[in-house]
Amino acid sequence: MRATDLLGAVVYDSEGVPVGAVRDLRLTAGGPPVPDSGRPAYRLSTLECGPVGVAHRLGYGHRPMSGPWPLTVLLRMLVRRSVLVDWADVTGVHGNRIDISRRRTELRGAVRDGS
Amino acid sequence: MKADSELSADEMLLDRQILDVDGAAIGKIDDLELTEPEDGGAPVLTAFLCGPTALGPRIGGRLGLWWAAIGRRLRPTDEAYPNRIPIGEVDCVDRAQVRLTVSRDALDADRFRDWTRDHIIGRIPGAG
Amino acid sequence: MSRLFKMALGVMTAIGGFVDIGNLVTSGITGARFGMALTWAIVLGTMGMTLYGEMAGRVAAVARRPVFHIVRERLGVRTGMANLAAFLLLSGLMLAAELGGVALVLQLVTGVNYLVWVPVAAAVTWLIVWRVSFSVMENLFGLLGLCLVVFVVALFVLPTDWGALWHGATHPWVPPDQGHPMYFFYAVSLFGACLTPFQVVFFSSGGREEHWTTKSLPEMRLNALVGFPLGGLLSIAIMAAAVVVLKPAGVDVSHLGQVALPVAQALGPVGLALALVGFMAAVMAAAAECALSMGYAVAQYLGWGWGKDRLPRDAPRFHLVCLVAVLGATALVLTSVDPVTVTVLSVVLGAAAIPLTYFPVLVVANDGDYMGSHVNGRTLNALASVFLVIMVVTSIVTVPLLFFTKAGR
Repeated sequence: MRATDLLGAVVYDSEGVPVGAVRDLRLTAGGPPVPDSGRPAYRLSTLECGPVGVAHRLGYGHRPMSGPWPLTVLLRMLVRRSVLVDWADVTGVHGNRIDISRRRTELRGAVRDGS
Repeated sequence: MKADSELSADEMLLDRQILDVDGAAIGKIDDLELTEPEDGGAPVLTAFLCGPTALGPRIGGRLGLWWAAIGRRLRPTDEAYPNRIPIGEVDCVDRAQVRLTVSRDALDADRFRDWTRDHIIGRIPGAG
Repeated sequence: MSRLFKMALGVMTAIGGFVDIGNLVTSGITGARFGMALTWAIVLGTMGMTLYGEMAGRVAAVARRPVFHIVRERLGVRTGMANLAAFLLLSGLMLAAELGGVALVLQLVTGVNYLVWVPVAAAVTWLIVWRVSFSVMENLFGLLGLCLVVFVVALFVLPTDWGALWHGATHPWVPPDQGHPMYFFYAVSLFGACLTPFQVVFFSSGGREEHWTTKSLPEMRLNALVGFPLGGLLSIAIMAAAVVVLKPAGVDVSHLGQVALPVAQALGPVGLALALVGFMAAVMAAAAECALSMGYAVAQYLGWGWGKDRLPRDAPRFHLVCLVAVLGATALVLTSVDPVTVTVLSVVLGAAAIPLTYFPVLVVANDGDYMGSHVNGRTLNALASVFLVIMVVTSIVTVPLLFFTKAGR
């Protein structure tokens, strides 16, 4: 599986309601190490989904961006609409579609305040 | 690989410049290889994918297919899977750089570069 | 003493480096047509270049990232690629203009038709890209470009009415015989000539070539904050010379030689020779820098090795791009399209693409993770945002103006 297979795929909740497109993958260290190195492996833990990718890309969601002013406000507003989906809740990946076992309303928001 | 305990693919990994152990530019992290373990746990990051065959799908469309085809043509076996840099060969990933533990000669990431050098640039006088 | 010399050299190189065929042609044309009324466009363009040049230099020094690294990291693969494509197209056009400019100077000197000189200009440009060391290129051409100061000298020798010049500059009304669309079209051309995207890509990548670090910031700032404005002043001097000599005579500038006429009139053959040396140096350097920028942009976007400080065989794909760029631009000039028209078109279309190149720089200059304590301050952000708005507005009106005025005819 490649990151591109997941990025941009649309996530549908347990009732078939679209949640958003995958904008980012979060990887967490821990667990048994990868065979060819002694260090802990990074596992895909969460998918960050949202309506618009540009705000996230530019860094206004989670980096300490000090401006310029109108952009910080605008883009942070856009990022606030992102939600997190745990990989454990994913039931299937079919082409451009990812199905999860939770309802949309149960998902938590993505905002990590970097400021 | 030394890095923060939680990494964002978009922020820390994708499209970052990869430097080998001597600081030479290898390429960008064009894609990530995630392997689902047999016991059905979460996918594990097993390699960085680098080169025209990895970037093509991310560009998408006709242009992406064409770019990936260039990468395939440069290989002896016309294999479609991109160059992989196994995670074991990655030294550290931080905000400043992505560094490997090995030198570029140990990787197979230089086909395009070598082709250009041998067939075009190397033939011009003064190439050094 | 050596440090002082190095700093002075940097500033002088920045002055010479600021001026290219775009500035020469547009200053000449607008001076002859509009008097000093469009001085504000040069002032605005110079301010913009100084502001964003310093930012790009700071990002190159502190975050160690040149412009197209940032473009891909922050805009992503697809948007970044669109950005790259636009940059390459426009810089290619600009490269064609610079090569045409070199050929025109050689035509002025030898009397032989410029088309014969185009391959020569291309070959020399490419040789500079291929083997001349970065510092030699910068310093040699930067210093020779300072010969353009002869325009300032000419202004003092000619019967210049300084009061009238000042009055014209501070009263930027549209002359009655030129319509508003034409006025604004040329304003955009002057603005675009100061903010050519390849210049900021080159400044930023050059900083990486010279391995700038946080310690290099004062030196970099000197180059940007003193060098660029002085370059703008030089452009204004060229415009003023055209106002004093060409406008009263009703000369409509359509050839590069006419831009040098005021100096010939004031200072005779010696002055003219210096002006031509200045033209040659500034335009030749710009051609090499433009070709290099195209190589830098592609290599930085795709992650290839790049740099002039190493043998060509160690950065083959980078050099291939530069070579193809020179060949493509040469082919364009050899279609015998008028070089002055190409110049005006390239700065105007370049103006349309300015926001693409400068916006990512503004974003990264605000990133605390990359810049640490060197992030933009509030005042700087306010100024930069104002300029971004100006750039976007310019970008929007450019193409309509182009069609409306039939490219300035």
